[in-house]
Amino acid sequence: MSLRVTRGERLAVIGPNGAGKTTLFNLLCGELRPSGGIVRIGGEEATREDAVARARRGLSRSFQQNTLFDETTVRDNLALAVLARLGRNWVFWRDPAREPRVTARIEALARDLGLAEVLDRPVGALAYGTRRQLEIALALAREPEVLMLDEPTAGMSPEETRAILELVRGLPREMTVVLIEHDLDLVFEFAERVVVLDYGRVVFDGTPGAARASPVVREIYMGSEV
Amino acid sequence: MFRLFDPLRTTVALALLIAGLWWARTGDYFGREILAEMAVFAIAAMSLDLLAGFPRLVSMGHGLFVGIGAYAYTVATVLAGWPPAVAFPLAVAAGAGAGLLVGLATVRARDIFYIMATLAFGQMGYVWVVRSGELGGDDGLAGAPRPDLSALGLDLSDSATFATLLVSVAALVYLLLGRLLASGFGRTLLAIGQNERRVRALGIAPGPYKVAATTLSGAVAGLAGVLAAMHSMYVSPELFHWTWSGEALIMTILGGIGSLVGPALGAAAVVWLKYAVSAWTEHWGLFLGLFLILAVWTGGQGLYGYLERLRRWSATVRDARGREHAGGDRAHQAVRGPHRHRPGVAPGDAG
Repeated sequence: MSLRVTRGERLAVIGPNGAGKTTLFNLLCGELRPSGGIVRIGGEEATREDAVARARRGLSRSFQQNTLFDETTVRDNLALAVLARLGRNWVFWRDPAREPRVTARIEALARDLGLAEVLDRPVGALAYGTRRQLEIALALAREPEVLMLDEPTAGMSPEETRAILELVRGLPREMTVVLIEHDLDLVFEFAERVVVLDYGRVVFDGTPGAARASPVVREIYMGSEV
Repeated sequence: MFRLFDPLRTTVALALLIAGLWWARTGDYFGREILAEMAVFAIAAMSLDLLAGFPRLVSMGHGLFVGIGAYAYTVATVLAGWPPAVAFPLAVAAGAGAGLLVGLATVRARDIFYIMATLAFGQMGYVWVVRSGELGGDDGLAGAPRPDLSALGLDLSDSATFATLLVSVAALVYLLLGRLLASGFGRTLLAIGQNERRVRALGIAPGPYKVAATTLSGAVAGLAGVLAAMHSMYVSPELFHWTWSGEALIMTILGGIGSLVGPALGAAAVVWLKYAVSAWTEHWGLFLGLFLILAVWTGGQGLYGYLERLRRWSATVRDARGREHAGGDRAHQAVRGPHRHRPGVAPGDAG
């Protein structure tokens, strides 16, 4: 498959279960090494770089299954991500998370993601939807150039989903956002471009409007209802 | 997030320190020897907790670092004739160096593979020392001197002074490691232990943190080795043996892994148990085993974990009573279900 995403694009990747959406994310983020082919970021080849190097290049992702630091608080989770962004993890004698610019950033993220009320609660005790919000917050805390969200609203209530949609819409225009999502209403509201995968191939690439009308997409993914 | 001055942690640490200092003053000779052994094990167990409790690198070869510290000090003073003031930092540096090498060699190993790799390193050290003629082989080496601190008015040949010094060093190690764990570095170690995948996704390479932690842990374990050598004025290959490493791990788990003060508590408890039970039966290990099984069955959070549960339970009861006074029928809302978390990482710990 071949896929090019331009800076600032709002792209949704959809497809049936097992189509290879998350595998595509894992390949792009460096968690999986491709057996063939090339991954380029900003025109530079990054195929052999691992997840750490790609995150430092500005690629940030959320996971389909919550991948959080369950045994600490929301604040501590966000602190680690903010410190990673600022390169302040190698501080041996003080806690840089207490610095005003770090706490301000943590609190701003918590406000944006609706986590302000639970900032000092342990993550393991939070409701599922709240944990999903933290999942996105961690990805955003790195202030990425490319934000990749893997089913961010899975398991969320309609209100929470709406809040996430508003948040993603409000992200800076220069930030590229790639979204894997099953909620088609959300996809059509959010995306400027839709890519449909099936069995690891791109079977459709176009605007949301064209996706709705495409017989191929109807057949393999949406059924006849759309 | 690790909070050094968490009220419960501080209470336990102060209680241990006060009990230790009191015991050093009032105990008999035999008691003071036991106290010195407790302090050595407490330092070793705390250094192990830095690895096993935070980045969750469960080392089964920690005796290697302790043994290297002990032998480096003894060889430098007894065989090379160097003064303790030179041998001491050298031995700690040797522990750190060993930590660095083991850290680099095991940086990609995880879980059972890490345990096996560290076990192998420890046993390699053991076999090397046992086979080495210069190091005394099976018989070990005798004669490691205690430093002369008469300039400070301290006579370390006096068991009370020596035990007081060791308890004080253990307290200092606790404070230094606690400060380290409450730093940006400590936050990162804790995160690596909880979810390495996410750590990578955040652009943090876990490897250098693991190596740094192993190096620091090796240095502190080397210090424990130096103190062990000074204490018994004799070093034996047993320090390297996996059973020694296993004992340090048992102390760490029994006391409360990941709480820093717990392993010190565990060290005191196990050494006490060893002497108290062996006074009337030689099968003290059986009792230790039973305690360990009990600790694992009841959640694996050790003695410190029990204290934390007690604190949470009393807070819940207090909370419920407060609400009863305030709101009558809403009181039940205050009683939250039990929530498992690691000792040492208190819910509500603010960054």
